Amino acid sequence: MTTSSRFERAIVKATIFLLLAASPALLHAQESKRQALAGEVDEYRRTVHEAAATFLNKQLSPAERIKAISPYPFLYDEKQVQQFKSVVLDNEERPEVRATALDKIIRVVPGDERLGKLVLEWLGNRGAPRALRAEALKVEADLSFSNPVVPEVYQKLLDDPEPQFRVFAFTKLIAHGDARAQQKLIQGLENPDAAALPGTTAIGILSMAPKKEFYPALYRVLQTTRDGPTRLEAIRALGFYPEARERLIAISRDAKEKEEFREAALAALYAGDRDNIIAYATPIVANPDTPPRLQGIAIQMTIDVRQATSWRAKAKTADEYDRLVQRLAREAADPEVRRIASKYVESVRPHY
Amino acid sequence: MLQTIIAFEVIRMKTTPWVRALLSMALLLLISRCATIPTCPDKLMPIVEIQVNSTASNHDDYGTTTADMPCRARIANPYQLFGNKNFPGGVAVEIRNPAGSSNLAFSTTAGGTGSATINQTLPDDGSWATFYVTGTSTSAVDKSAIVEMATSASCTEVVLARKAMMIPQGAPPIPPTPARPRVEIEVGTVATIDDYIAWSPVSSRIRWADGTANATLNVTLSNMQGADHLRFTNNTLAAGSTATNATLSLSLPGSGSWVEFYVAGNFASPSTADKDAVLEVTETATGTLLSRDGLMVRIRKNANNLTTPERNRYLDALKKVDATYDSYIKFVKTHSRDSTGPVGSLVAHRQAHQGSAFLPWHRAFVLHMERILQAADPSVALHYWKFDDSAPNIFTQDFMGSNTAGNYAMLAPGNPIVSWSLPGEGVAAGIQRQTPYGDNGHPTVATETATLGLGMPPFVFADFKTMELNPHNPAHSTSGGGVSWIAGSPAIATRDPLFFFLHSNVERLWGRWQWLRNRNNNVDVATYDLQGSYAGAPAMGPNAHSVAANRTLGQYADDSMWPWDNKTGGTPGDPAERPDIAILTPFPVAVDVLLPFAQPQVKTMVDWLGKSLFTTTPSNGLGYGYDDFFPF
Repeated sequence: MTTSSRFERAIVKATIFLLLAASPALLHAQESKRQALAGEVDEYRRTVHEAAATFLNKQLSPAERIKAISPYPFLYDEKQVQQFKSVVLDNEERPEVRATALDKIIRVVPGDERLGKLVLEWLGNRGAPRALRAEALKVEADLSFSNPVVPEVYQKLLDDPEPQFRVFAFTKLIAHGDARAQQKLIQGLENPDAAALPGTTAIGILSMAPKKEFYPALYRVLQTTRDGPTRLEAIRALGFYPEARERLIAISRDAKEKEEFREAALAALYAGDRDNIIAYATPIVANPDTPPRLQGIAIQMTIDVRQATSWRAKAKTADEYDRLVQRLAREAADPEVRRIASKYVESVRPHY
Repeated sequence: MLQTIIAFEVIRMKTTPWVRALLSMALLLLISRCATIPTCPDKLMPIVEIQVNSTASNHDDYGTTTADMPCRARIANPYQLFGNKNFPGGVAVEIRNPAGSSNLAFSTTAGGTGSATINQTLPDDGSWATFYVTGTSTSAVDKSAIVEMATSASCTEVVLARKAMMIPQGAPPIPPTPARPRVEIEVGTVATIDDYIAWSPVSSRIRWADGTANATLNVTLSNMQGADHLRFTNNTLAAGSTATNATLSLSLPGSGSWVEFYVAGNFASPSTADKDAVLEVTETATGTLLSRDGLMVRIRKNANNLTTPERNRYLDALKKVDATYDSYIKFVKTHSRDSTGPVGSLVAHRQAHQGSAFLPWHRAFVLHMERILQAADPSVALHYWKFDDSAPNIFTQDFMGSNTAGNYAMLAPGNPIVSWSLPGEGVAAGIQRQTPYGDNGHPTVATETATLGLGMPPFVFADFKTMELNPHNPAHSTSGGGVSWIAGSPAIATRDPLFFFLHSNVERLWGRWQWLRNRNNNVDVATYDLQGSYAGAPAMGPNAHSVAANRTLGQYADDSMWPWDNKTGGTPGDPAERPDIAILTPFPVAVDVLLPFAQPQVKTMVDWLGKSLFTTTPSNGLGYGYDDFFPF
């Protein structure tokens, strides 16, 4: 190195130093944070690579192999991905090992026809090893969120002996408007002994159906069931069924009903007929014996519909309900009711 | 529009200061033509200026509890370019305290009885409307009383302005006598609705309003003591940088001409409340306080770490968007849907999923929601759920709901979303969600470190976008399966407001990856793989749900995005086919945040810091930032 080049390098170094020194400390701190994060990520990738290599070592026991790779969600090295794929396809490998290998390469399944078919095959084959079926369900659950296409095999799962497979299939099919799946669940509501799913789960899934063909059956359930959780779900889901409205109003006001049923009924009324919520809420809010939680929820619902300036512009003066809540804001025994009532006064700003 | 902005930027760089100022005004006019009231596509956004004590300077923004103080407001964008009025008949507004505060009373006449709200009409010719303010209580902190102004439009309500002031207990921090030099400050524009900043620099200006020719006033910009939220720099700031100085010295000419500077948030100290970031102007030589301006460093934060007031403001805004303005349902009806409803639509789905546009489309979707929330309460940001960590403060009855049993999230009676409802969806009130991981757990997803490590050197977008499959998909699918909306299908996942926290985190992970790998150049394939525009590319391959296979319209960098481009229909089965409806249009343009315009392109969403578009001047990008990384 010549004297002049050493001199030039020194000048460059000094310039860099001065530039760095002149920069605000924050930028240095951020750059070092970025470097630290890059280092952490690199280290993590190396660890995954080593764990994958351990998994691929057939000299080790299946348990050791699975334990090594289990903490990591996916692989980074494409060569290892191909090796894991070979494990998935290898009938000589233990099902648990194949399932673990598949779990780490889920992201390549959508682009790999062979793996895709294998997953659906395991999913629909009740005779397939449990580990492979469970993993196939997991893969399908993950990937189906990105892929709204519903494979034919889901229909087979509606009668699967394993409940988690049935729940998965009913959920997907009903969300996509499958009439047969909906009918099966409706039949189950009418004949619980032959139901594919427990009542609460069935109602939860049915309430996601685009077409609400289940309302009449569900209304009958509401009137007849003695199972508390099922009744609760039925109340919640019937807010949009006009024939059920009077019954829901009665439940919401009935002091003999459990509080959770009254709350669910009011929520259903709010969902199905929000414009009339003041009428539904007033007897509940006005009754001093109403449980505080229900009273608070009722007031909160009325805040929703009255806090807009458009409401204030329309309502020239405070009405009876405004005055009722104002009184509660001052006098309610329960502090949470007082707080919610005060919030009503503050948010709705009635012209008292 | 984009070309116009670039042309302006180039001209601004190469011209004299007064020409630049003129062009800036023209730019504001141009932008104001595009800014429509969120959720009211055909209604232009009035840009409103408020003056407390009827002066442009803040030196006298101090009231009392005994006498009313005259204030005034006007529309700053009353006319179109060729003289037609933007708001014939004026703009009807409500003047009030922000929700949760009551320290001011208002009246329309001097000496009138103060009330919590008054209605006024701002004249359509830009002239002032006067109103009067009295304090109902005093405060020890400057800028802690806020005058809020909201529209009373029929289709929605939007907060148009918030101006901070103080009702001091004794003498005001800036006494009226002896008279001090008056300075005027504009952060962003003359409006206050853009006084919400993140880490990116916001172009601002200051002037000496009552100076004398040839005189100079040397001032120092700093934070008010005890509130170190702001950072400053002068107008020589380089493109792609931000303001990082705790103080800034400026010389203000006596001629009254404006001096430009930049302000940004202090990464170490984001705001927790509106107007808690107080810019202070003092005379350099004497330290005499001349003016204060209340801002907010509004940042997207880990929702698990919010203060109680931050959490409550978010919930109140969310509920307003849902129940009062009926805007939330429009997001539900857009995500993977067309007019056929919750059954879902493949064409709608592929605009936003299974491909490169997954990340930019959801960045736009989340930002759209954030801007709608901010129309209800400008102090709110769209926070995130760090779904690879436990979040016990999110899954509570007071926030997004607890779930230990049953099909619904349990919510406290005073929680604004306790009666979460979705008009027209035909679903029960409440949030259908099971969380099998409990209130203290989290979904089984790739960790943040694992996600940031995706791909092989040199770490390009084509690899990173596979995060759609993990952590994104299992963040949904392992949140309850069965009866959970968020796990059910893309066409119903949006029903659960947790969706937006989840996707804010997806968006944060992408922004963090861009920062980590320096992937901000939106014309680089390493930053975004599908460059150019759709030109009759083939339809999706045999494995339609491969994230690498989607080559349809809307996936390419130069493509505009449905629904914001309002392009619908097309030949069934064609890769250029669009859903048959476009409800969320146009994109809500925020005052003084240029990007991403009313019809965002994929590449404008990629360029969230504005570093690609603005190569000669600093930019505030898409106008948001995160609490856990500083992308400069």
